[in-house]
Amino acid sequence: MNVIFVGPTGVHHALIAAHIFMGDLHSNDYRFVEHYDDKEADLKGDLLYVGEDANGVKVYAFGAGANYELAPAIIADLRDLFGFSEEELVARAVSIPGNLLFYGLNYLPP
Amino acid sequence: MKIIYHCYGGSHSSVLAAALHLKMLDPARPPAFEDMMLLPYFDKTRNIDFGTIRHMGTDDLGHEVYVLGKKNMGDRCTAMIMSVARLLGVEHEVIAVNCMSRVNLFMMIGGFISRRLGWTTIGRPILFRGTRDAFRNIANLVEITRLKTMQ
Repeated sequence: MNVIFVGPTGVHHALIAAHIFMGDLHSNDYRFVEHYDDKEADLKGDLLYVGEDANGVKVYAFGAGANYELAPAIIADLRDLFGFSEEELVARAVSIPGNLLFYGLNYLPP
Repeated sequence: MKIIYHCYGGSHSSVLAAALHLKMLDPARPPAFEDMMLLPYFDKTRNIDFGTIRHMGTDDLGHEVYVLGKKNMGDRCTAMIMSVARLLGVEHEVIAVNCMSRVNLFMMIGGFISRRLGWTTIGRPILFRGTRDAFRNIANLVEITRLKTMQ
């Protein structure tokens, strides 16, 4: 099975949600999470492979931009079009307060 | 193969592209207002249609053609569709086409007034003007896409 966590970026709260799901987030200091705030990885636009949990579920993070909330529906439709089921692929949107402000700030020059 | 044309609302440029792909319209001649309004989904989508992949038809080569409204997801939508297709092992069976690069200002303004504000009497003539202007560009995009499906 594959699980995709979708946020405005794939390298912030979607990534953290993916690690919480996998049960391997042992600290609140996210700076040491692999790919955290890795804008280069995010800008590639590919699914970011986060890892595999104890049950063999493969976990991904994806940044879909400002309208990230549409992504799970699109992914579900695509999955259904090709005859796959929820047992094989699930996508969930991850949001936090101030989501879009955070997204905008993320792309300001340093 | 499945071909997904996507634009902001899944209501204008993507529908026009899908209609051209399916030969519902003649690529050599911009459609009349009435012909455009007869197209399925054209300027008819609602808020709940965003993010829904809708079937428009099957082309002469047996490819299924779809339209999608993805709001401001931009090229990320194409990247996401192709990444998910790769994950499922079907990347050679889908093409996602972003139609936004072929949309002009009149289409955006007309589409906004008609769909977002619901003022179709004002929005549709502006949209029609924009669609006629963008027609050749959209037809070109479709031609490129059809060639890709033949490879």
